[in-house]
Amino acid sequence: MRLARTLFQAGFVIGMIAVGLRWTFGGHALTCETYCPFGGLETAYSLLTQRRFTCSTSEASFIFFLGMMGLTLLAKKSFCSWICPLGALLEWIGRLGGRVRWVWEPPKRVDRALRYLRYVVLFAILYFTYTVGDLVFRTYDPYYILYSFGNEAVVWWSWMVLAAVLLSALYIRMAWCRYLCLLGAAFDLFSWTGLVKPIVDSHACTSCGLCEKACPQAIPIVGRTKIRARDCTNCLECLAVCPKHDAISMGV
Amino acid sequence: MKLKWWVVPMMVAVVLLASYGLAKTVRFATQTLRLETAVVDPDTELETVEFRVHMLKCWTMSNLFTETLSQVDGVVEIQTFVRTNTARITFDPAKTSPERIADRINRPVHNPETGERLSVFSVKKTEMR
Repeated sequence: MRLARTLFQAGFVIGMIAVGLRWTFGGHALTCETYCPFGGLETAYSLLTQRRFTCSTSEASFIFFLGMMGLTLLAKKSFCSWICPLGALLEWIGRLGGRVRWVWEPPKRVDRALRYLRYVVLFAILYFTYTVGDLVFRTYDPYYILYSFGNEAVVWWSWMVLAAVLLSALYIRMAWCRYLCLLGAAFDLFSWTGLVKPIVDSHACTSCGLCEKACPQAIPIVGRTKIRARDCTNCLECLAVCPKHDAISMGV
Repeated sequence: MKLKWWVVPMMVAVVLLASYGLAKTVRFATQTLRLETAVVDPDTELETVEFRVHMLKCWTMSNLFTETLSQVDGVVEIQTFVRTNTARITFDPAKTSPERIADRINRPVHNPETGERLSVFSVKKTEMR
């Protein structure tokens, strides 16, 4: 299952690099923004109230946003661990950080409080996008900076933002996704009700805690029977590391 | 109810392919401008040409584009599609041609405030419909 997910992630990373290169050097119409579901959320307000798209968004981003919302209702935030080309990079960097033992886990209280930060950022960005009518977040968006290969909205300090986000993954696993990702925050509303999720067989579980250590989102698993946590991305890491066959499985 | 692990990647693939297919097929016109006064004779056989235009990527650019082309004699209808950076132009072949329309698209725009001439749009591909 790890191989399947790595193949998915690698496919999207390579695909997005190809889109960026094709746009930068070949003048192709499709950009990394075309495929970004967050653009769909940013344009939703103007589309519904004025029947027009916010600059640089199109019907494609809106359709992708609706599709990914549907996916979240079905299988929690699977988008984050199977599709997101930024999340994939951050996860790989995090693994590297784990190997050289640089990874540090913030205290649980601090971690819990910091996870609310993304909602504040989400509402602020949506408010400014709706009032200004342009994608105000582009200059700071690590996904856009990385896969647009330094488009017109990218300034010198955008690269510093990107470097900070990438470096943060070396020290705190998936720091961007856990504390600041706006798309993740938008999906949270639907992730609570996600149909397919990991379920734990309390009779087979030995409470060894390996699953919690392996979870990229640092979600508490031991002692629970159904993982309803909004941050769960169905990455299947808990299933992969579990030494007891069938103690954790996917279920509804 | 327990499920196999591969249900997750399967759901991801199905939803993604469905979204991709829908995004490829659905095409909303960002702007549609029909210049009713352009057609004098109802029997005129109109022609349609589609251009892929560099910089035709948002609502504002769409406005500027339709405004620019509405001044071309013989242009009857302008439709813009930002996702594909394309514009579909219906015109009267007796009054204008795709070459003339492309020429107008490529022509730099005059900025009255600074006096500068700015190249905004450029035609990348032309296709008769």
